[in-house]
Amino acid sequence: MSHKILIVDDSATVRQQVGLALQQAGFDTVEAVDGVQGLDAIQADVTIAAVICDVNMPRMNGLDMVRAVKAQGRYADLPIVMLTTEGQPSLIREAREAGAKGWIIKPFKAVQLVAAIQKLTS
Amino acid sequence: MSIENQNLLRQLCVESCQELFEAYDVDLVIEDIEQPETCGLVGFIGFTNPELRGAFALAIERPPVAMGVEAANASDWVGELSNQLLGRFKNKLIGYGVILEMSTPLAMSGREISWITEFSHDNTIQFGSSNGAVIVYTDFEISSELELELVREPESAAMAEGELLFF
Repeated sequence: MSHKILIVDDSATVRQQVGLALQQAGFDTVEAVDGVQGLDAIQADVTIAAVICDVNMPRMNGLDMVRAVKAQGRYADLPIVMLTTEGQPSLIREAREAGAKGWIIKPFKAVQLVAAIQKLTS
Repeated sequence: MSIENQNLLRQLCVESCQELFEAYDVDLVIEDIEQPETCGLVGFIGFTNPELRGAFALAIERPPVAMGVEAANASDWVGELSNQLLGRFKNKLIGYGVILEMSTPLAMSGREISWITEFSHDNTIQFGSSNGAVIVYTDFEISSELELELVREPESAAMAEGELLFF
């Protein structure tokens, strides 16, 4: 059975790029346009196996979404990888403390992204 | 703003833009192209810091193909490119001890979006490429007290683009 991955990014093009890379590797994907929608999607679908999440987004940013997800104990093991243009060490530290599992700087390499998700869902 | 600061910010912006487009297989060369009367795709993004604030406008003729994906929505893609441009610029400035807060990007697409200001070396960087002209309009407001000095090599100050870090 293929794993379902949630892609949270306010750019439709980035969601398309990430989705294509993951689908070609055999994953199913679902999308959300910001942290609010991402949080809703996670709560509504227990089959989501991992999340790829932007940081700077309107309404709710990615770090706040990770905190909101991890505040609910049942998602303690849900792996979340941040995919962002930000390389600022203090933000990376915040993500780790919030419970994220990884950090990738855009533009991403498809092979690397797929390998990360395969590792986190195996 | 001192000439040194102005030149440094311009150079960091040039490097950020060239590196960004290179990641999408487009080589940018600085060219004194004639100011086009209009453009069709522009992404805008702002940034702020107690001593440095401003915005970039990124105008492109055609969006580069992104990782084998034709952008479903060209204005969305130019907005994301302006976001990635500022991200690179921000990561370079971390080496100078300056941390910028980024806004979320905006984008416009149209048939004849007009420039109302004349291009000048101070505020415009013009590139030629196989993908058409790329123009970055920069607007910097910098405190007279800010001196940009390299405190750490950017490579060691911030994660590099394309890098993956597991926690």
